[in-house]
This record gives sequence, C-alpha cells and structure tokens, in this order.
Amino acid sequence: MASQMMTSSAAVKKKRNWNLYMWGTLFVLPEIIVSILFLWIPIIKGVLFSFQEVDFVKGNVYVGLRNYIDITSSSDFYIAIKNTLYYMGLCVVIGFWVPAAVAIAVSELRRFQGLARVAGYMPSIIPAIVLYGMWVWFYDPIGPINAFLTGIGLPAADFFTKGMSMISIVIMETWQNFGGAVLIYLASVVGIPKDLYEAAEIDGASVWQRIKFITLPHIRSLLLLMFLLQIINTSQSFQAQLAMTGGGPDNATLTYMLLMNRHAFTYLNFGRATAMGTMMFVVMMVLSFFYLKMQKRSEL
Amino acid sequence: MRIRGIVISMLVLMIVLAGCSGSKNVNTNAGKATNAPTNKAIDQPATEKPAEPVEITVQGQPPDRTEAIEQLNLKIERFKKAHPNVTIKTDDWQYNPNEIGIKMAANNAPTEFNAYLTEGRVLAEKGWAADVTSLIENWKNKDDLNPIMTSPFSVDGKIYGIPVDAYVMTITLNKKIFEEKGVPLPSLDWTWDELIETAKQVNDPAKGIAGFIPMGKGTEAGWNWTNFLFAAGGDIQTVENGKLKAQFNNEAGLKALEFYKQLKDADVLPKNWALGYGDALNLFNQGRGAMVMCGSGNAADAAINTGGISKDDVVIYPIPSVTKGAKHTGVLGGSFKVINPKANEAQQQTAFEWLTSEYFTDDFLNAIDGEITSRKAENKVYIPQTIFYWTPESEFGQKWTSMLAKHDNVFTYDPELMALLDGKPEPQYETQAFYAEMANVIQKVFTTKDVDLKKILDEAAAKVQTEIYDKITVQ
Repeated sequence: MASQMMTSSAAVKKKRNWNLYMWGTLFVLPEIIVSILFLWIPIIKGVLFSFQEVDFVKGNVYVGLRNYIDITSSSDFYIAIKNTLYYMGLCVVIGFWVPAAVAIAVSELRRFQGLARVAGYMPSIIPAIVLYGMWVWFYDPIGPINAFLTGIGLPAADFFTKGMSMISIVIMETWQNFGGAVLIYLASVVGIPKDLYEAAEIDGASVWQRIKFITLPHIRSLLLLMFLLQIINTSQSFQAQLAMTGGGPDNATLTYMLLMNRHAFTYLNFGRATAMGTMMFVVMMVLSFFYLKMQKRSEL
Repeated sequence: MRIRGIVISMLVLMIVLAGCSGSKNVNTNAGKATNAPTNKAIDQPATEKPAEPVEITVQGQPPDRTEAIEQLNLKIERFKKAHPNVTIKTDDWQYNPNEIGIKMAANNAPTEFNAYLTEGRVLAEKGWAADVTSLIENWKNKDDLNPIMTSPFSVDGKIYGIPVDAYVMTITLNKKIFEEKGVPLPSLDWTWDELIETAKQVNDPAKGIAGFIPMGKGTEAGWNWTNFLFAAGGDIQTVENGKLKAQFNNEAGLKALEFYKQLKDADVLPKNWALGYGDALNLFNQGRGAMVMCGSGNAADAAINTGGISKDDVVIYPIPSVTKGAKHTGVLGGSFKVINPKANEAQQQTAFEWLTSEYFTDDFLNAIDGEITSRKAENKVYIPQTIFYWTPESEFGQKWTSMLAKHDNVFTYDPELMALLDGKPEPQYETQAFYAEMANVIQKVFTTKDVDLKKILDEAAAKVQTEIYDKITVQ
C-alpha cells in the first residue's frame, strides 16, 4: 500500500514537473525561434560566407582561407585595428568617468534631482542622424563653438584634423551616451544605505570623503561591469565615423567595423566582410565571457 | 587539450560546410542563366503576344516629385491599354551602389531600374543586370540610339542596359556671390590657373564662403579629383597583357594633385574637408561656396529647386583645361535602364517593352512637356541633362529642342559650354576601390601642411596595384 502511494506520488510529481517544464518551454519557444532565425542562422551563415566568394546571383564559390588572407594582408586592416583600440582608449579616458561622476553629483543634489536626471538623459533620445548633423554644425568653422572661441579672442579650432578628428567624435559620443549610463549608476548609488552617509556626516566626513569611502566601494563591481560593457560597445563603433568623417582624414577614423562596412557595401565583397565579422565575433565571444563572469561576481 | 580538440573540430567542420554550400549554390544557380529572354521580335502588336498575365515592378519616382509621378501613372495607363495582360507595380527605390547587392540578395529589386552609367561592368560581372543583347538587336530603334550612350554598358560584346541620359562633370557657379564681390565671371574656356585666381577673388573665409568646394569625404573625393586627372590627360588604370596597371601616379596625376595643393595653399577651400556629395551641394545651396563640382545638371537642380537660388544666378562651366585651348575633359556620368536578371523571361521581355514603348515617340515628349508645365505651377525649374539616348541633330532631337523652347522654366545650357564639354568614361575595374584610396590621398593634402605629393601618390598607386589590381585578371 505504502509503496503504491509512493509510486502514485512520484507519478504526480513527475507529471507536475513535466507540466512545468512544458509551460516553461512554451514560453521561451518564441524567443528560441526568433534567436535561431535572426541570430544564430545569420551567425552560422556569416561564418560559412567567410570561406566563400559570395555571389548572391551566380552562386557562392568556396575559396578556403583566401578572404582571411586578403584581409590580413591589407594595410588598412591593421590601421583599422589600431584606430579601434585608440578609439576605445579615448572613450575610457574621455567618456568612462563622466556618467559615474555625474551620477554621484546628481545623487548629492538636495533639489532639482529629477530635473538633472531628465536633462542628463535628453541627448540619448536624439536620433543619431540628427545628432551627427548637429555636431557637424557645432564643429563647423563658423559654428557656435568656434564663434565662442573667436568671440573671447582665441583662434578658431579645427576639429577634423588628423589628430583631432577621433577626439571630436569621442566628445560627441560621450555627450550623447552618458545619460543612459548615469541612470544605471544612479540606481546603484541610491541603493546605498542612507544611514552610512548620515553616520559619516555626523563623524564630520566631507563630500569627497563620503564619495571615496562609501559611494565608490559600493559601486566598484558596477564600475567594472560598465567598463567591460563599454569596451564591448566601443569596439564595434562605426556609425559616427561613417557619418561625420567617412573614416578620414587619411584613415585617421577608420575603425574595424567601418572597414568591414566598406568591404561589404563599397567594394561589394561580402566574403571579406564576413571574414572580418567572424574574427570580430571571436573577440566578442572572449569579451562577453569576461562580461558574464563579471556580472555573476557583481550579483554575489 | 580536449577544448582545443573541440575548437579544431568545429573549425574543420565549418570549412567543410562552407565548401559544400559553395558548390551547391553554383550548381543550383547554373540554370538561372536560362532566364535571359530568347531572341523574339519585340515590336509585334500586343494582340499577337500570349495573353498570359505578367506582373512587373517598374522604377517609381521619389514621393516629392509629384509631377513626375503623375506622368508615370499616365504612362502606366497607356501601356496597360495596349497590354491588358500586364500588371504594373511601382517601386520608388533609387539605385545606390551600396544597396544593390542587398536588393539582389533579397530578390526584391524591381523588374527594371535606373542605374548609374558608370556601373555597367560591375552590374554585368556581378550578374545584377540582364543580358539584353537579343532584345536590343531586334528593336526597331536600335540604329537611332546615340552612339556615345551605348558603350558604357556594353561588356565583352554583350549589352546590359538601355541608355537614358548622360552628363559630363562640370563646375557650377553661384553668380550672385560673384556680383556681390564685384568679380567678373571668367570665360567658359577657362584654365586651372583661372579657377584658382577666380576662387581667390570670391573667397570670403570670415563669412564662411569658400571660393571652391571639392568633395573630400568618401569615394566622392576620388571621383571629383579624377576630373582633374582626366583634364591633365591622365588615366586611372591601363590593361597590359591581361593585367591591370595603376596609372594615376604618372605626370598627369601629380599635376592634378599639385593643383589640389595649390587650392589648399590659396586658402580657397572650405575649412571643413569632410564634405560628401550631399554636404558639398548643401554648402553651395546655402551660399557658402562660390563654385562646386558636380554632374552638369545635378548641382543646378539642387541649387535651384532645393536651395532656392534663382536659375539666372546659376551658371555652369566645364572642368577647366590645364592650358588655354586644351581639352575640358571631365568624367562621363549618367543613367541607364537595367532589367533584373532574376525576373523570368516573360517579365524581362515585358520590362523591355515597357522601357522602350515610348522611346522616340510623341508620347514621351508630351509626358516631359506635361511635367515641365506641372513644375511651373510649383515654381520649379526643369533641368535637362546634356546628352540623351537620341542624337541632337536627329529629327527627334529637333522636336525635343522645340518642346523645351516653349517653356520659360527650363534651365538652358550655354551653346559654347556644350561645345567645350568632353566626357571620358570611368575605367571599368574596381573604380570605387580606387576612389576610396584616393580619398585618403586628397585628405592628406587637405589636412597636412608639408606633404610630399609624389611620395603619397606613389604609395597609393603601389597599394592599389598590390592589394587590388594584381588580384584581377582581365578576360
């Protein structure tokens, strides 16, 4: 009798588990289908194309590693890698600390905190093409920045020289993107227990001491996570370079993704473009692995 | 060790899969070549054609060109009356070299579309244009075509397009800026030195007005510079024993680059070098440049109908000659009609009939006449191209001239200009790659103070030669 009851209870449990499993599967099925159709099939096809001379009308021809050899033997490939690393570095130096600093500053505000958050996020809602047009005007020889500089007796600046063009793009992108990151930092900062700050204030801690000994240690994991996320995002940048400088002057703003775009849509060589994409995919996989590891650590 | 084994196995599997899928595609598509229409007479009355329904998608007009859309709809009605079995849809996608590959891959390019005159070989070699040789051969008007217009899309003895119109690159001047500065217009038979001198006189950097606007961003930069290369008697490439040889670093190329350096040193260029096609025309339309380089009617069209500059203030000049009396050679551009090779035989034949149904007819002239009249109501000016599929001296050419003469909202070209224009087609191999490389050289000249012109030109030629030309075998 007891064994019969045990068997029946196990069957019920098994059925319940199966029901749960089935419902769970049904809920994630659309996501799985969408991912397969629009993510994994393109990824696999991309890798396959990288070994082929792609011709959508006459048919693809297998060329082995030729696309990879052609790409890696081109001088532009190394210029693009160097520029991308330079761009990523500039984004860290110029842009990485801005959202964290703004978030901390906003969190210290006693009044108008909501207004400051909205104002900080505003640039993020400007459509990219409008943004590029706007900043080309800001950087124009007779645009507002140069009008200001010449107005106070300084010489006009040339924002698109070989040395300045990438910096000009990073300044623009920092301005556009910092709003979203500010909100993430703010969410973390406001989650720090208030009594820590109150105790510090009673002990006579200055603003800087509160930031140094309370805020920064609490958002350290988030800072690391955001750093990695920024590295992943900036390594794929090409839109601003394409719209504002076309990769110039003299390839000074030619990033890896812009070169890939050029191979695909200017030279119409989709095989080489996908070879570059596959190499990028491998790098991204490594970075994403670290990102996931970091994310897990921040959750602990 | 195990992970490494898995990675190597996956890599090998990928390479094998790529090999398999490649050969499969080739076999599958081999049969598609039979899509080309067979040698059928195309001038038979519609009643003799099979009445099976055929659906084609034809080149539409951008939404803002209401007067052209109106005329297109009337043409569709006329065609459908004569061909009741044909259903016609329109697609307002405009040809773009950066998009055509995707359109073909997705199989959603229209049955017929306008393409640039300079894209003939690319489209033919990629298989993105149908071979229309047999259709043209059987066309009653084939001998009436302007001979200048047929060569750019004849590739290896086959014809891949139907000519529409063409232009030679020119320089467009804003006469108002000249008048405000009290600078007389130069003679049409001008030289490079006269261009620089004129640019210096009309230049006003304090107001942000540049004397001359060359394009400096993207492939357009190389395209603009090539006009001076051609004017100096140079070439981009030559074919020697089935191999391509870079020629743009020869004496003519150096002369053309020195000219760009002189323009830079004279401080007559816009401070911002990063000007693509649209950026340069916008600057001109805003009155921030006295001269801009573009296709004969294109800059004028943008300046008058978009920029609001009076047609009387727009003057078109040829590319200046190196010395007085030398040729005013510029790049030959224009458009031709392409039939989608992925369309079936009936669709290709119907598309050809659609395209040529009103060639050399009064219906065509009446349609343009109607478009010009509609433009007048909208205060717009009609800017014709300079070269057409017909010859100007032919009977049809005379009718065309008379029709235009009836209207006062038609932009007219100076007859002296027409006599000076000398168009030279772009070379047919990897021109966009050359333009992209040349853009770097031009940007170096525009942004670097002391630059060794010969050295950078030789370096660019060596790069184009080893990385692009050496990999091509000319059939």
